Amino acid sequence: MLEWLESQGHWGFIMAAYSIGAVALVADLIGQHLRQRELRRLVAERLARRRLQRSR
Amino acid sequence: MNRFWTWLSRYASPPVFYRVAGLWRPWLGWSALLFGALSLYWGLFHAPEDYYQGNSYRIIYLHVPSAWMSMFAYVAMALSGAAALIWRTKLSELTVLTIAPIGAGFTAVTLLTGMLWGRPTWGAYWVWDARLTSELVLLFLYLGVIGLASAYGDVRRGARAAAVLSLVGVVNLPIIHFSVQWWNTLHQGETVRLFGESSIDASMAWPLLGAALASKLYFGWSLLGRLRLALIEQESEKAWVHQALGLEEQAHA
Repeated sequence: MLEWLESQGHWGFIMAAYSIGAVALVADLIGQHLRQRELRRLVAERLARRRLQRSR
Repeated sequence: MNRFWTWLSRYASPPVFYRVAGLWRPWLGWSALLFGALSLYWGLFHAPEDYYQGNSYRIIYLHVPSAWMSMFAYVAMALSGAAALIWRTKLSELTVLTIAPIGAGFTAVTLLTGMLWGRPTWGAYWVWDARLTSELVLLFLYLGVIGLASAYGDVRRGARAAAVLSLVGVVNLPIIHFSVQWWNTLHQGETVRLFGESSIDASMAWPLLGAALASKLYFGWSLLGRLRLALIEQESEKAWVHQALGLEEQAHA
């Protein structure tokens, strides 16, 4: 893989570097989005359970 | 002075911070995208080729802002750590825990992009040079802060322990910054100077400064977003969280 990268010349290294940056950025975006969804679901479930217990 | 503390304590209140951070976030995110896109386009396709390094220097527009941010984030984390130990506010404790993964990300990007720059420039991906080694130590410090905090069952106690480690690790920052002056390093010396003449041409420097600004704005965007999530997690039992998530209305509907 490194041999292939080195055969691409300077632009190969540049593209590889910016791909790493893009992956880090997307991981942060998706990570925050998924965590928000998960937290919302957990809080909603907890609230629903509490309301159910109260109604009984 | 009293007014300042009143103002600060008002914004350190979780519901107020959550709301204000939500107002700031879109501005930070969109301006980071705008500055980032313009700077990268300028740096990658319009800035001239370097007479010595050829095109490979264009990695600078990601590597250098990430390196600056890796140290800036550490300073911010250590200051929050100091605030967490002195005033013990929930927000400052959560800020320490929130900055650590962002800073670790910037440091990892710095090291990886530096390796990709090093190969065509020095002929090696990695050398145990003072600048590279001290930056690697910074990554270990961030990972140490994350690991130490998660070793505690109680988030707030973990945050205070991590705050102590973050303060101890500050000693590494001058070592990173001055390593290229104190030791004979393979890594190039200071190119952009805040005070004094920079040795980089303006046609290359402007997109670099734009990218640096974009990275600061992105840091703000990511930090506020993660802090908002941390507050939801910590205060999930509170009514303001249910309102903020729109769960109160759902229940009454």
